Amino acid sequence: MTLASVAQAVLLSLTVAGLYAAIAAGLTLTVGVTRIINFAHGEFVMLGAFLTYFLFNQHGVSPWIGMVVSGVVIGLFSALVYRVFLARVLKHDEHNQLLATLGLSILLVNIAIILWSPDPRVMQAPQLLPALQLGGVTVPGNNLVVAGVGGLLFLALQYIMRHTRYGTQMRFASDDAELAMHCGINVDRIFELSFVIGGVAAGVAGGLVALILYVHPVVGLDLVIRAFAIITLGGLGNIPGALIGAAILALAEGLTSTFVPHGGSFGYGIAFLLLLLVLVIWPNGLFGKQAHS
Amino acid sequence: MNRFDVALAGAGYGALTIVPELSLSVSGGEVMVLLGSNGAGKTTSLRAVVGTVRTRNRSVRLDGEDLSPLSAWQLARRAIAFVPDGARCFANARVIDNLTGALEALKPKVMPAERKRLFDRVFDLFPILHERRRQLAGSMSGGQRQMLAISRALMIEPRVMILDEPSAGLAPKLVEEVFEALGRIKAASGCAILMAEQNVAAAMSIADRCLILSEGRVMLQGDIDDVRNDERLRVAYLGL
Repeated sequence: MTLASVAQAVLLSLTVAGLYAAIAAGLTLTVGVTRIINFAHGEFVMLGAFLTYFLFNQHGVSPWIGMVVSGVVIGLFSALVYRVFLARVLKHDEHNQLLATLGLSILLVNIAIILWSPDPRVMQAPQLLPALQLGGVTVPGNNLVVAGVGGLLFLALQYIMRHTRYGTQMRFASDDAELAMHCGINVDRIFELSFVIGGVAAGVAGGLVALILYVHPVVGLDLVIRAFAIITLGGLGNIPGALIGAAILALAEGLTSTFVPHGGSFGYGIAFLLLLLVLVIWPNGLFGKQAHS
Repeated sequence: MNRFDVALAGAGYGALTIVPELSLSVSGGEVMVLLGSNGAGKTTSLRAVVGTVRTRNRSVRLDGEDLSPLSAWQLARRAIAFVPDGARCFANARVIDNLTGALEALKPKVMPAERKRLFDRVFDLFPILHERRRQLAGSMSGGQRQMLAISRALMIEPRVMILDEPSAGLAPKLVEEVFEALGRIKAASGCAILMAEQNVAAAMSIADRCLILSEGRVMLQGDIDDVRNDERLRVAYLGL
């Protein structure tokens, strides 16, 4: 284990953290505002990955544009899902919501398997940016894209929540939906908006997935489980917490799979061991504030 | 002018009807108080007025304009403010953000002078809120949160203010302070105030008219003086 190899593993892990952060930040925003545990968030990412993949492989559309198109399309798809499906389920109890989004997740995975087969695909995209050379360490250009776009998405979500009128309304609806309604806020529209923002983030993140991972129908399942672990680490609804949670998870996974013999097969497991430890010690997550009632 | 007329029928939850029938009117500059013991139907009535409890029939009019089809958030946009019980605030937001958020939800592009006037008014009414403006609302005492809840309603310049038990859970000193402020709002703002109360003495200090509920039925509706002067009524329904 040399210094260069540690530096290499850390840098690569941090680029993956950008992907995790983008997915988790969208999920924590949606879940924090609407209190719907959206298992299908991973499938939104998967659909975005397939869209970016097909746009590139069949139509030669640059993944840069593919990501944007995925964001828009998945954002619109989220609005559709919210209106025809979740808005109705919201009126029922939480178990039903959970089963509904889990059902949606399974449905989307299976539609993807029927349409596109379960085989993993590789986009074979050109490197969108030149690789970064630092001493003996190389970070491939597409990993830089993942880190950069993931970071930008994260900042955009943070900005919307903290510095816009709609962000205030989303935070109000999250704190006390009934009270928000009595302030003249159309809570149903605000829930939809938070869902659409989460969907746009998932769609763009899907484009990032296509750049560095295999594209296949269950790619979202792995990612959404990680995203839930990250938002638990960071505290529900806490967007900055999601960034740090993503870095911790990605580093734990990356370092384990690089330096532990045969670690590749249990890097995922180590990450969750870490999650369990954190939850035992800090049940509200590392940055979860004690909610005021 | 702000004349608020309400008629409800069959207000309740699921198959259960709590308040079979109720109608009332409040004018601007006037306070009407709903009195009655626990479970008399006060909260149900107020929530039925703003449309969060189901009714068989509901008519809501402000200066004759029919607002019955509007839902709770739309009523707030028509300057009908509802302050639910329990001194509820946006606990994870600062005091100042609670007020700004409520203002901007209705008026996104409010002018600085207008903004200043509204803030001055609530800080003049409750100076403690100015002192605590950078504090998280959830970390304040019940009395301060109630003051914030009332201030939040004032930010929308209400024509009608509906309050559910503003005295609940407050120390006597704070009850006095809150009611004194409500008295000033009544005198200065010209808005119609409808509130439910269990603290009869506090309510009577500012009320012009009252409506006494018992087991969901309206026992009496009239001038506050009628009740004050009628010992039989006071003993029967108010335990005074």
